[in-house]
Amino acid sequence: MDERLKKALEFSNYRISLFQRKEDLKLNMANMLTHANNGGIFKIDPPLICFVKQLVDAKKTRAVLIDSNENPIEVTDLKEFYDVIFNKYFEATNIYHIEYSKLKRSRTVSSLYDFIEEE
Amino acid sequence: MDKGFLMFAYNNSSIDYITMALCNALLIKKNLVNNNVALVTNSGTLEYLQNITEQSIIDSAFDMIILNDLIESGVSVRKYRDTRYTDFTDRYYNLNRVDAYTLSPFDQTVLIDTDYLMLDSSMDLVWDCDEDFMCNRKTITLDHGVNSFGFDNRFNEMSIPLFWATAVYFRKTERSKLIFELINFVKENYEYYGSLYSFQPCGYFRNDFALSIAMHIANNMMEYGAIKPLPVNYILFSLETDELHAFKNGSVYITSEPEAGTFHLHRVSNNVHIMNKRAILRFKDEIIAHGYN
Repeated sequence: MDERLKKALEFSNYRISLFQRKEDLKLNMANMLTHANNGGIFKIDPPLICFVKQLVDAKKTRAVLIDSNENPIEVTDLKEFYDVIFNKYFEATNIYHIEYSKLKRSRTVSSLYDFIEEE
Repeated sequence: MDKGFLMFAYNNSSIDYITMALCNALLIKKNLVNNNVALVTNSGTLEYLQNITEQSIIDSAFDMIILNDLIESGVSVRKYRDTRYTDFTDRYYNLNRVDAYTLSPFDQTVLIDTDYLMLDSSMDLVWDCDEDFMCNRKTITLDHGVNSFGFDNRFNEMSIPLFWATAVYFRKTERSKLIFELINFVKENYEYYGSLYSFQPCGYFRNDFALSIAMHIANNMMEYGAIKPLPVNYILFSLETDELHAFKNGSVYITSEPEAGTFHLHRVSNNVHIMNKRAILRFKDEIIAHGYN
């Protein structure tokens, strides 16, 4: 292992590193929950998923939704839009859960970062 | 090519900007679907890259190389840091970045700094947006400090918000053209606008400052609703005092040192602006190997 890295790991505070990693995971999840459609940018969250599901259930095929920049965006295929945001939401939260579970089991700074030493 | 990334790279005697651009271009090719890259540089810098890098790597990184020779007058000297423990000064060639609108070969352009490493795919969301000009105001440091530059990312406590030129999206529209013309105008009258907007002169031209002032003027001197952010609405920063320790599997391992002797280790897999340029260059071989294969 690189000598500088070894020293840094020795100095790093476990609790701070744990907090940092949790924040990193949240940022990563937020990035994954960003979706672009027809010129609009949407933050995928449960209210958006539920609202779009309501529209699909009401047999709507297209609708105007307000995006993250508060622009009105016409979604021309609601069913496809719903499938994409639904899947993205579960993909992002599952990755968050997996990584978070790894963090909970980690007891050292190096394990928090999945740092595998090279032979 | 109607969509693509544009970078400016002019080497000085201390920083090999063009190799940094090469690294970033290869990361763009690796991580993004819309991955056209155009580079603006001068013949001397390009010749240097060709002498130290295989042509096949250069060809795979850049779709277009635009030669734009520098006008030396007005070029300033700036201080760079390489961790807390080293600093140096050198010439800073950033004056023609304001010409990005006319130099860009793309209809839709993401103008990025060479040291804003594209480690994820989020920039794929930017294309074909309703907005014709986007950039970020919010910043997050690796220690998760939000808007920690100055006064909540303003020039001063009474002044306008600071937007970051680190990553700027623009479509070729009248509005974007107007903003770039204003940026040029602010550059030509930089001292006056420095006094008017009361920002601390740092000895060299700041594209961020000119961009922020131009957007303020273009928005009829109003603060709110001026410019929309990019899809990922913040710039993740690693400071000049940070050290890069490794580049592995597309992630960078960085130690920040918020106080002397206090080290925090970070693994970063998202787009990150690494301000310690020499730290990036220490891992150029690893980044090129990752991006080229």
